[in-house]
Amino acid sequence: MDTLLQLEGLTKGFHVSGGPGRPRQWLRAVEQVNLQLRRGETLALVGESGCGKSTLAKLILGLLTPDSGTLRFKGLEPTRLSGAARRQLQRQMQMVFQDPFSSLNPRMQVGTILAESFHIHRICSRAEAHQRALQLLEEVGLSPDHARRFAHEFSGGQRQRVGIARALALRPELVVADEPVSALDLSIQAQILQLLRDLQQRHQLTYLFISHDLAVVASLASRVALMYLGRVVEIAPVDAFFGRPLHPYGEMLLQALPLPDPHHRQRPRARGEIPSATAPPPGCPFHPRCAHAQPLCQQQRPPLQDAGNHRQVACWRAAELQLEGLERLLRQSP
Amino acid sequence: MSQTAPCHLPDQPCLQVRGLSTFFFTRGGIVKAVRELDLDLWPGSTLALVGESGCGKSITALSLLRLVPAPGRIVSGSIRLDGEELLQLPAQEMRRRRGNRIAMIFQDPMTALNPVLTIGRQLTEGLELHRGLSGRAALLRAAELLDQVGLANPVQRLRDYPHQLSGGMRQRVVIAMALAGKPQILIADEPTTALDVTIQAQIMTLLGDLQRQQNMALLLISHDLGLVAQNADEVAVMYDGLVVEQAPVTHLFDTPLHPYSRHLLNCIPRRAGQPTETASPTGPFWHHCPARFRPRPTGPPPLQQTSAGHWLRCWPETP
Repeated sequence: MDTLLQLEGLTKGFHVSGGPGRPRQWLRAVEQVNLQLRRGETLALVGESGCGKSTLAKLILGLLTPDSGTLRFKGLEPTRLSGAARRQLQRQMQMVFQDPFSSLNPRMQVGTILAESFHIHRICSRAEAHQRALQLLEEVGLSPDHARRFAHEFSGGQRQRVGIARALALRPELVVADEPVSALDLSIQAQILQLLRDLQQRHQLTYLFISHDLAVVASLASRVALMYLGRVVEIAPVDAFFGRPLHPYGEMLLQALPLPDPHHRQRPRARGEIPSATAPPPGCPFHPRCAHAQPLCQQQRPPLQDAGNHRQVACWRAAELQLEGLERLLRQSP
Repeated sequence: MSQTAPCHLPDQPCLQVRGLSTFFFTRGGIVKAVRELDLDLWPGSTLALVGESGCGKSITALSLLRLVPAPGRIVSGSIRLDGEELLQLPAQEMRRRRGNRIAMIFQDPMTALNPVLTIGRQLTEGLELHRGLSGRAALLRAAELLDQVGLANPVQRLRDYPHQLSGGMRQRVVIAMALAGKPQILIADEPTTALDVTIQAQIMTLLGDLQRQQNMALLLISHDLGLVAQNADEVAVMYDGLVVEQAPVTHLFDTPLHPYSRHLLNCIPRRAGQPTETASPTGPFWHHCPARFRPRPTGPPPLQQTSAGHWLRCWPETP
């Protein structure tokens, strides 16, 4: 499979207020991220709030400029292109947002919202744009009659369909979906996930799927990239990750996931909270919460290394640890 | 002030709800948020109320506390706390039960805490009201409570404001506030929905430990079937204001009888390739039912017992 997106050493930080009378602090949101997205795959970016998932998504889409590192999309660096060429490249990457209510203009009819993409990129005439908007609605399982309605007239699931239709308008190759189903009810969630699967097949889309919900990730993704405090700490095919994670943080997340099986009561061993990104711990950022930490972990940060079988992990003890996965989640029968 | 009477009779539920209906009288018509609800909460045991948004879970919780917001009103039914009818109590008396005998924790710990008061002030308020403690004694007890919910440096935390704490720490404070009155019944409305999964695991472990220590009855309101499977003893599935099925947790997950319960269980995300339910019902479920559950003009079917402890609101199979 060929590479669609390549990130090398991508880094982004922010100045944040340290509180009244205190100096500003430097928050490392994304640090030295190396990641490849292959055409047609679904890579899930997994991690808890504040780990840098959304910042990474914004960097990829060009909504933020990296402090350092490079980003190549189809072999080109958008930051080195100018004007039209850059817009041409960036319209092939689109985003689906978590909250479909705040991402749709409440004063615009949905048809107008969808047609707007075509105007902005001067793709076709007004009449044709309207026609295409109606097609988009049908494609995401809504009816053309919905075009005259406003966002508030839709249910949460329908709104998310509109959000997806807008992302698809310009026929992107890469769709970045930031928690697209976490605001939705379970049965709506299942529908939207199915829609995402169908659209991916129909249009050979590549997804970067950002989620904190591992059950959703298991059902949609082909690979997982696990983030902790701004860094990618493990990359693995989804089955391998759920079967046996290599990073202790992966194990902690999987063990904390409550399984819908009342016969197997779990004893979660999760402990501690994510430390502040303005003062990350020295050495491995996970060592204060890690059950397997050794003195080395407190002193030196482990690099992301190849672990065989298309896996990478940033843990000094990855080779010797036998961590527990969640085989059961994968084998669950309906 | 009435003293806490423990649930001394193990063969008696500490909270008994019968025929509870809460309607909202809006300009657009009457919204029947909760209809004909029967529930028993037992000491030391957890009942989970599951369902999707708008099914009436949260209004059920607020009804139990008599905190239904206008234009909603409890229109009928009975809520007995250790035999005492709550719906007949004067508002003043009801205030004494709230927080003292029945406490509630909410989904979002940030909005449940007052941003301009210190943690200590918010904790001692309840202790002064319900326990008659004041000054140093109240602060000491507040620090004890924070220690009990696993917060490090409790004395230091008393001086902190909510924004200085993380989401998980705030939810621990909210739990400490709920426990201040040593309630017999704790209502937890989506207590971990706003939290990360590792924090959720720690909060649920904490709730379970506290429940065992104090023999509390827990009403766990959640849309997360994993959380319910892991923590509940009994489950009630709500749809459109009605409990459509209620059963011990293993029964419900092994042999769900109501088509809506089956639908919900089928919607749990699974590995690609496996079937997931995709149709979603809106409106009365009997409009969407498979043929054997065909709608009747008479309205919803009654809740009937099918086997020990397993209740179902569905028409019997017809030839």
